[in-house]
Amino acid sequence: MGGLTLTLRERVRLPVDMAPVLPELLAGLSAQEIGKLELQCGNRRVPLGELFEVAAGDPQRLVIRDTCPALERIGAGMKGGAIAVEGDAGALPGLGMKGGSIEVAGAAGAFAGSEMSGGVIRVAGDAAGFVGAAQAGGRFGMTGGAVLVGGDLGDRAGDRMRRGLVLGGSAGLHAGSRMIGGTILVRGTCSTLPGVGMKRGTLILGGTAAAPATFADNGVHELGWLALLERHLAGLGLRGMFPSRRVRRLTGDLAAGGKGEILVAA
Amino acid sequence: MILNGVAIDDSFAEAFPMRATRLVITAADTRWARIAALSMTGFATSVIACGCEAGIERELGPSETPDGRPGVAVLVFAMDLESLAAQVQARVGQCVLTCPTTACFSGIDGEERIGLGKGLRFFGDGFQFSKKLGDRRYWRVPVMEGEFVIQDVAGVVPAVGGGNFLILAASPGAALDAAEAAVAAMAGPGVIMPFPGGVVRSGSKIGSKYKGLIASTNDAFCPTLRGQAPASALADDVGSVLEIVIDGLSEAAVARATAAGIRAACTLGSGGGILGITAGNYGGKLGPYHFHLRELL
Repeated sequence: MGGLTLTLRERVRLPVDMAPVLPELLAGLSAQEIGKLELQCGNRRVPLGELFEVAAGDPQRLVIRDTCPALERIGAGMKGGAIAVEGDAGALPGLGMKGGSIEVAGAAGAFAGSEMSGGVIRVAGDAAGFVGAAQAGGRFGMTGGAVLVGGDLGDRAGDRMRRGLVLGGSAGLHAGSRMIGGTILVRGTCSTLPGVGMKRGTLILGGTAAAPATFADNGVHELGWLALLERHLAGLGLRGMFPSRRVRRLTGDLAAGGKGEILVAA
Repeated sequence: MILNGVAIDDSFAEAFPMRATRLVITAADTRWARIAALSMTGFATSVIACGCEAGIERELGPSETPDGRPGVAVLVFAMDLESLAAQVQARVGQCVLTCPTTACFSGIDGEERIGLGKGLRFFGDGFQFSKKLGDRRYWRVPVMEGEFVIQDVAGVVPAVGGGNFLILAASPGAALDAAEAAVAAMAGPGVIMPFPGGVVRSGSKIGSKYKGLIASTNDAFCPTLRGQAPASALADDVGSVLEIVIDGLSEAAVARATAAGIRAACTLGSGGGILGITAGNYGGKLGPYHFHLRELL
């Protein structure tokens, strides 16, 4: 049996909350019952069947086709199973996710993997700002799992991130801002002021970047643990992503009493 | 039962439950990994006075280790979880942390766990760095050489300690040749022979005439006491006895190693001065694992 498939009938302008469309919530429902589920669309509730054409299949392998950026919170809170997004995902994909996987064939909106604690999000295109970050007022960003972005990361990637892994091609402003733990690996370089307010955690940059003056330069070293990270990435199917085991180690943000690190490929 | 002219006694080795862990020590090359492992497993022949029994299980290629460097797998056995944790922390802290280029990882999963880097990280004095990759946490401890990488915890499994057999030979030379052949044949996954070179020359009995000594020489198997010991177990032609003690991660692993060792010891045959094989037991009162020699073969 193939995956349960939802095909968007036509692009929508108002945001649609996709959080109720999870593998675990759709299990045991017929295509007809799924079509009657109500989704919040703008300020009204709309039957899922009005927005999507439903083709029966295994809900543990949910496929959402012809998507558009108005589809928000895809896979929010999900605990298991797989969601394949054939198109772009709107904001907050995988918000608070605990397990399972989300694959986005296009780009992802802001706050991908925000406050997630487990599972894997793969984005083939770019991911907008605040990947793996905390919600406004939230204590921690992601606390586990991985967000693997084939394209570039927007601004403030990993803001208040505590554990887990974020991977991207390049990063915008303030990558790793206020980071508490975890690892951000940027294959290229990032925009200005990475690591501002960083407490702990690791931001790895493949290319040179101007670190804030509040980071101490500890020189160039070959770090053994990077071999563990490389092998971990290989386990996620990512080979050849690693810039270098020889890195310049900058520690800070000293302005915040931080002991985090920015490792710049040397 | 006669094997190559060697009499296999109708006896059994008696073994007891222990707790064990496997550590993987990696280094820049095999030589340094072995140096760390030998240092860490030194003075670990018997729980009677060493606190644990430990030894090198085997060398590991780069493809078998977490960080892709050459390594050595070490097995550590103790009577309970607490003493195992204390021994591992002390030995890794003094012998692996201190050894150039090494890293240390758990080499086994188990329902129980002991701290590995969990306690040793404090050597970093606040500069230590935690990295959690998947479900495994590692510690990076800054040291003068660079960074020491160590996994947070190590798995612990139930294990079997005290498997043994005795080689009865006409002379010390014949006994040693047979013992060396046995140890070489026994090495394999899941077992260690914790005594020097895998061989014990001073098998012990429980208790002593002296207060405070919990073990003393096994006079029944001392050839120089053949006529004097109250109950010598040695025939007139036995001139030397050596014992091989086996600790294993499972009953099957100990059984495999015991059988392989006895067969190898017997290859020298009666013509080579090997007269008999027997085993040490306490009448079934010491432990639940009984390895009947003839059944193993």
